[in-house]
This record gives sequence, structure tokens and C-alpha cells, in this order.
Amino acid sequence: MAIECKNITFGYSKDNILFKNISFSVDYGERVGIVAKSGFGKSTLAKIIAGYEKPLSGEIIVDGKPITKKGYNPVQLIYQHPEKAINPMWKMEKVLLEENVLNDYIINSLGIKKEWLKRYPTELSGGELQRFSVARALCENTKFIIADEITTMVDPITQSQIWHFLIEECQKRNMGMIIVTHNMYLAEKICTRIINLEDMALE
Amino acid sequence: MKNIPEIEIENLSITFKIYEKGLIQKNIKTISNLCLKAYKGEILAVVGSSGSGKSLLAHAIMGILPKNATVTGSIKYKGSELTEKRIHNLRGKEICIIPQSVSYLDPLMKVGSQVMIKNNKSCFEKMRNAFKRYDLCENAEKLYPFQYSGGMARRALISTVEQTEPSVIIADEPTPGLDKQMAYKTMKYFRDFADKGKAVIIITHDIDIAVQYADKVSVFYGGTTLETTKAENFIKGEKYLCHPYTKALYNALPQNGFKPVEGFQPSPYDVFEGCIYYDRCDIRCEKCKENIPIYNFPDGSGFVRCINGY
Ligand SMILES: Nc1ncnc2c1ncn2[C@@H]1O[C@H](COP(=O)(O)OP(=O)(O)OP(=O)(O)O)[C@@H](O)[C@H]1O
Ligand SMILES: Nc1ncnc2c1ncn2[C@@H]1O[C@H](COP(=O)(O)OP(=O)(O)OP(=O)(O)O)[C@@H](O)[C@H]1O
Ligand code: SF4
Ligand SMILES: [Mg+2]
Ligand SMILES: [Mg+2]
Repeated sequence: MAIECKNITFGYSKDNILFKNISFSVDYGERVGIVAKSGFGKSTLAKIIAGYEKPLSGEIIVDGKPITKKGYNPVQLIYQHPEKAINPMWKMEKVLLEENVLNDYIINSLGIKKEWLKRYPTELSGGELQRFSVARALCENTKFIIADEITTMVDPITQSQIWHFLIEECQKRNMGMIIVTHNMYLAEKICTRIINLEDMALE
Repeated sequence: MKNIPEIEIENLSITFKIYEKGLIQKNIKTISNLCLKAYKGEILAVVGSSGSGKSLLAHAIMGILPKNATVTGSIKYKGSELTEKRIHNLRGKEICIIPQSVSYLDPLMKVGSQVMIKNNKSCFEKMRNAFKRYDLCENAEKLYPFQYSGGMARRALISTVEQTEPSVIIADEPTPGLDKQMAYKTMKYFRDFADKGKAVIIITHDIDIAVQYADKVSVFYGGTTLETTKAENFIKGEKYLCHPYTKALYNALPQNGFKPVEGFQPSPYDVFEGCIYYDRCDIRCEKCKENIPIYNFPDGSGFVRCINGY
């Protein structure tokens, strides 16, 4: 089992628990859909799995070892709102260079145009910006991708292109994926398995 | 004859002045020759390619484009030109926008109080009613934006239009990240609003949801409109849609085949003659490299920009 979430309990304060004892695992090559109502804690769980937030109890195990803060994070999180996840003071080129993914293959496959590299985030449309967040998650060392509602801000054709590309990359590199979405039609097309967190919390 | 549109846009073009490598100035035309009409009692859904100019259009109407943008063509409100001075007085009162980016929420202010345009009882009640409708509890009023989930932030933005009694609402992607039920509730609010004789323009990628409530759909690509058609045609099926791009958009929805299309929308740097969809179109021919006429539908419900007409 490549990523294991073991009995994760979390609340932003101790007297306000969001979810209790969430456990599941995701193997390489799997694309696991995560669904639950708005405000349940999906994005929070995504941050915990990527190591940006500590659970109150439980642990995240990657390849048999607890996640650490050191070195490159093999679990890459693509955020729900790119405008909040990309430094507004940086030109786009710098955003990609930081993660070392200024690579023609990725840029071309995602339809990122060279002229956008010279711009600031506010000078791009929502969907254009989201392609950069996808690109920057695809560093060579990435083993897992957590995709938090990543294509709600693009048109259906671009959505289909991005997913076909991401699925192909995942298969080529044998990465695993966790996919958060409210769109059940989309989940059924792209996921190998779907977990409803609300059901799990009831058990 | 139909009544005067609430918003009428004719031959709108938006050009950005960009400085590259030192002082070489470039003009990039992001919107060209765009026409659009929004009527009282109707919802117009604006759909189409990412980066096709949908948000810029909304910002142009609201008069909030960045300084390096030049606008030509005409934007009319209730039959007369919407000048800078006029929009300044109407903005946030008669014409309201729900912005696309959640970063429009002020990170330093509690969400409940920033949604209220004035600090009085009536604004407070309107805020509380709207929050209730969108399942934001009283506790949520007191939180800061960083304590909100993605969907909650979206719902707070939607609540802002209930503060005044506008005659036009422009909603720039109001439903991404909302579950079906909440998205329907939002669209239902816009439907009721339109039914009161107001005009609504909804920019959206949630085509399947929007067409169930909208009257017309305008399809954008590369800074212009390729087709405007009745919303019901998206429900009836692909063969009721005319433009090859509109059909492709329909077929790319996960429930309709999830079919991608090779290639990408051209950049405004590419100089174009003929059809802007040429390099991705399955049925292109030599004639498509020339000027493309606009075919108006005989019943007056819309138009298509393709040599194959309707
Ligand atoms: N930094 C924070 N501090 C305090 N509370 C927070 C914080 N971030 C989120 N919350 C709260 O935690 C809950 C879960 O938020 P989260 O963003 O994980 O939800 P979500 O399931 O991703 O929802 P959505 O589908 O709307 O994106 C919400 O009630 C939210 O108000
Ligand atoms: N300040 C700017 N300077 C230069 N170009 C810009 C600027 N703002 C937007 N653009 C460009 O104008 C085009 C239209 O942008 P707009 O934000 O209107 O797209 P959109 O249709 O709303 O897309 P999305 O669906 O992704 O939100 C894009 O290609 C974008 O890169
Ligand atoms: S004008 Fe020609 S290239 Fe353009 S959409 Fe119509 S058939 Fe295709
Ligand atoms: Mg979320
Ligand atoms: Mg936009």
C-alpha cells in the first residue's frame, strides 16, 4: 500500500472536530475519488495527506514510512483555487522554475503558451492559471497527486484534455491519485474507485 | 419588435498594451468584434473556452478593466451608452457583479460584515437571509475568509447580490465547486430574479446545469462569439447545435462522451484571417480561410459564425 491514512481525526480546534477516524489507502496506479458535501473537510484532509496540516490523531504513511517535511514532497497537492496558491508577485516563469518543471513536454501538453510565462498571475484567466498549478505538481519526483477540484474553472474541452493528459502521465510514471470532486459524472469517468467520506464518518 | 435590451454590446474589442523585453510595446487584442444582448426577464449563459474573454467582457461592462486595456465598440445599458461616469454611479447598485476569483474576499474582514454594503439592520437581515439560503450558518458570519472552505467562499460571494435591488446581475462563474443541490439553488435564485423582469448574464463552465435555467446561450472562443442559441437546444442534443465548436463543447462533457479536441485556442498574437476555429475543425475547407459570414437564425433566436450556416 503506497499511501495509508490511518485513523485520521482532525478539527481546527479541539472542541470542534471535523472528522473522526478516517482510514483508507491508495496504491500506485490507482485514482481514488473523494466525495462529501461542501464544508465536510475534503480540502483539509487533502492538506493533511500532503503533510501541510497535522492531524489531531492518526497518521499518514507513505511507502511504509511516516511523511516527513524534509526534501522534495513526493505527494503534490493541486489546490482548489489557483489564485490563492500562486504567489501574486511572481511571474509565471518563476513559478514553474521553482519546482523545476519548465519542461516543454508538460507545457505543450497542457497548452501553456510561451507568452504567458512573462506575465503575473492576475494577467491570466482562471483556467489559464490552473494549468500552471497542474504543471508545477508534475516534477520528476512526484509519486502522488492530490487533485482538489482542479478542473471546475476550465471549459469542458480543456477539462477533458487535462484529465486525459494527467491519467496518461499517472499511468506512464505509475503515480497514484486522489481526486476531490463534486461532479459525479466526472468522477465516474476518471476514477478507478470512489470513497464517500460521509459514509465513512458514520461507520 | 422586441423591447430594448438591458445590456447591448456591439463590436466590442479589448486591446492590452504590453511591454516586452525593454521597451518594445505590443498590442494584444483579447476580444474582437463581440456582440451580445441581454434582455429583461431572461438569463443569458455565456459559455466557452478558458481564456476566451468572458471575464474581460464582464469587467468591461462594470468598467473595472486594468489601465493598460483599451476598449472600442459600444456597451449600452437600457438603450444608451454606458459611459465611465454612468457605470461609476450604477456599479454595485443597478448593475452588480459576482466575481470569479474568491480572492475578492477581503482576508482581514469577517465574511458576514464584508458581505453587507452598509452597516445597518436591513443589510444585516438581507445578509442573514442569503446566508441561510446557501446553508451558511450564523457562526460562519463571524469567520474570516481563510476559515472558509472553497464552496463556502463561493456561496458568500453569491450572497453579495442580495444586498441591493439591481436590474442586471453579471455572475462570473458562480457555481464551480458547489454540489449539484447548491448549484441548482443558486440557478433557481437567478431564475426567480430574471422572472421579476430583471436581466442576468451568467458566465459558466457548468453548462449542463446552466442550460436547465437559462433562456439563451452564447458560445465564446478566441475573443468572439461563435454561436448564440436557445438554451433548450443543449438539452435536445448535439444535432440542434450549429457550430462545430459548440458541438465539441457538448461532446466534451463527462456525461456526453468526455471527448477531448486536439490543439488549443489560438493566441491573440496569432494573426488570423478566416475562421478562428479552423485548425481544430473536423469539417474545415478552403473557403473557411476567407471572411466568415454571420448567419442569423430565421426565428431571430440567435446566430452562428460558420460557413456551413445552420
Ligand atoms: N484555516 C481554518 N481555520 C478554521 N476553520 C477552517 C479553516 N479552514 C477550513 N475551516 C473549516 O473547516 C471546514 C472544512 O473545510 P474544507 O475546506 O476542508 O471543506 P471542503 O470539504 O473542502 O469543502 P468545499 O467542498 O466547500 O471545498 C469548514 O467548515 C471550514 O469553515
Ligand atoms: N491584464 C492582462 N494583460 C494581458 N492579457 C490579459 C490580461 N487579463 C487577461 N488577459 C488575457 O485575456 C484573455 C481573456 O481572459 P479572460 O479572463 O476574460 O478569460 P475567460 O474567458 O474568463 O477564461 P476562464 O474561463 O479561464 O476564466 C486571456 O487569454 C488572458 O490571458
Ligand atoms: S467556418 Fe469552416 S473551419 Fe470554421 S467552424 Fe465552420 S466549417 Fe469549421
Ligand atoms: Mg474544498
Ligand atoms: Mg474568467
